[in-house]
Amino acid sequence: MISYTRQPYYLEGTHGKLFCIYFSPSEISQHPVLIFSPFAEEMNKSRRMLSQQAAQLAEMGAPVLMFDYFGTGDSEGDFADASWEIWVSDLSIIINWLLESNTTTFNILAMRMGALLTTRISPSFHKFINKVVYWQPVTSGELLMSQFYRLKLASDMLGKDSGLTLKDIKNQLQDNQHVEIAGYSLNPALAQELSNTKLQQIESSVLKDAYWVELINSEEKPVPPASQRVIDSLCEDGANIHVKTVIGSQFWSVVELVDVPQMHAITNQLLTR
Amino acid sequence: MAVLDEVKSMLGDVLQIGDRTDTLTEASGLIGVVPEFDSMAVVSVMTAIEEHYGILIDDDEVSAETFETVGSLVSFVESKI
Repeated sequence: MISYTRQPYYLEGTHGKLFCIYFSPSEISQHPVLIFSPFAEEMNKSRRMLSQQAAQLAEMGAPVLMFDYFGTGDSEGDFADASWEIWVSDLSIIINWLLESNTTTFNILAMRMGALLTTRISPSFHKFINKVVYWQPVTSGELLMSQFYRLKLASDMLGKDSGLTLKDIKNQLQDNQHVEIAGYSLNPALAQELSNTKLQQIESSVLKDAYWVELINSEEKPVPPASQRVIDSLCEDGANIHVKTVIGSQFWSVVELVDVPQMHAITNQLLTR
Repeated sequence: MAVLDEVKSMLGDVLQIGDRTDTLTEASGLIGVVPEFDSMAVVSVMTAIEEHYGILIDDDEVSAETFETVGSLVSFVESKI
């Protein structure tokens, strides 16, 4: 096992400082890994699993970079000011930093919404991408947003029950107003941009050697048909995607913190030589 | 009977209540009774039901009553499949 240090630092982003943690192994023997985190509450709930993953990869000799998107976590800015365009433009700064510190190509570990963000990696970086590992990628930003709106409907239902409907939320966003959901003030621009993003928009040059890890409840239930359709269509367009399944609880959405060690085991295998 | 077991298993998975899952019956209360049953849990249960049965739930067709007890949730699922 290789020793490593956790180096927290701030990187100057396009709209404010971005909080980064660099897991730096004493001996580097693997490609560096850049982690793309999920969205809002899913990000909070998965922080522990992602951070454990980073530590395990570092112990195997891979430098790992985790960062908080603008307006989230310990980065500067309010969530209310966060937009997809800011996150996309900050991405180039993050990747440049990674390439400056490590002259090799790099691997990507992207979870849930993080996968949607990989569709917007500047083409000039595509040649530096080695492997891509997706953890239960979100295939449609629109679906992710619907699930997020549902949080508000559910909390309304459990609380004062004002009869709020999905239409009310969508109307409010369309009128260019922020919507408060589970403590997050959602910028209408972010909602709009995310809703327009689909994983299928990705260029196949990003997915030359990609792994799609899907968490399932039981052996009898393979990858959901909706995901399979996206995988098939991406492969037809020239992507090379291998599907892996892991049995366990969906740790980004369950109430208590759960660990899925199998997820780490398979990821360690995929991202190290 | 099968739906009851499936719903119980989904609840146990989402709420991470371990062995308490086995003690759930149709009469067991959810909202306001199980402390873990918050809005995030409601959303996760709805998503789990959609994925498990391959159905789409319209947000307007569920209410607090749907999640009152295990039995009310089971009846809702049975009406959808």
